[in-house]
Amino acid sequence: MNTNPDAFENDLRALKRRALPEEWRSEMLQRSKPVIRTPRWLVAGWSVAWAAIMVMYFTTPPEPDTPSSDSWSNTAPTMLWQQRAASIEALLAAN
Amino acid sequence: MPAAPTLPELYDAHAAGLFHYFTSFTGEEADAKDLLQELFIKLGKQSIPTGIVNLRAWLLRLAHHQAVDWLRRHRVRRRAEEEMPPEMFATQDDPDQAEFAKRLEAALALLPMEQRSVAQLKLWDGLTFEEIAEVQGIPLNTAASRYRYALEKLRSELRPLYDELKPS
Repeated sequence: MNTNPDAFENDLRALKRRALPEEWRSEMLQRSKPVIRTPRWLVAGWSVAWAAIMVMYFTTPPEPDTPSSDSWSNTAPTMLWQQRAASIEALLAAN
Repeated sequence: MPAAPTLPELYDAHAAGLFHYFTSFTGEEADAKDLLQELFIKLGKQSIPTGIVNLRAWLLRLAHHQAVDWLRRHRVRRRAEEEMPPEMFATQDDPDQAEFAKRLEAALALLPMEQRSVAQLKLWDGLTFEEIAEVQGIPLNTAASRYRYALEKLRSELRPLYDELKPS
């Protein structure tokens, strides 16, 4: 196999191929940047944690009702008044 | 062992050669550009192995597989004479050289794709027949004979102009 180039081959080889347009470089390299992906184990961990939170939220029974501050504010003076009236009556009865 | 090259380094050293190789298959600059972009996206996703002896041949092998896939998907083998040959060579200051380059582009476009791609690899990418055979997955003798046929056709197409321009 003769691999020695002749003059014609050398003349062809001497022709320079055109360079790529300048703007292609930034355009292509920008699009080729590797996308940083969240590791699968982390995604799986987050999913499990969220599932556990949702299960706990829906299965935990609601806490018993506690009297509101409004009801306290309405009932407390009445009770105090009744207690005071009872103690006054008791004093009067004793005398 | 040298560190693996970065994408910008690969682009600067090899993008033009890869683009022209793609053009030898697609015949269209826009398609060749898309293939080049696709190749660099692939390279961005994978880690470039270190210690590759001939990086150019390694990249051209990837490009070759990609070009073959592209041909399979598009099922086209354009008839070169129906198309304007893609502009392949840099602008020549000498008008004779410019004419020769133009005629060479037209002559290359007339070659069968297999011969054109081998001629590109041999003449302008500087690959040996062994490397061409490896890039294209063909026997060594096939690579050599495709090149020989390509060269003879180019010679006969360009003979009159070449003899005129060549100082004796």
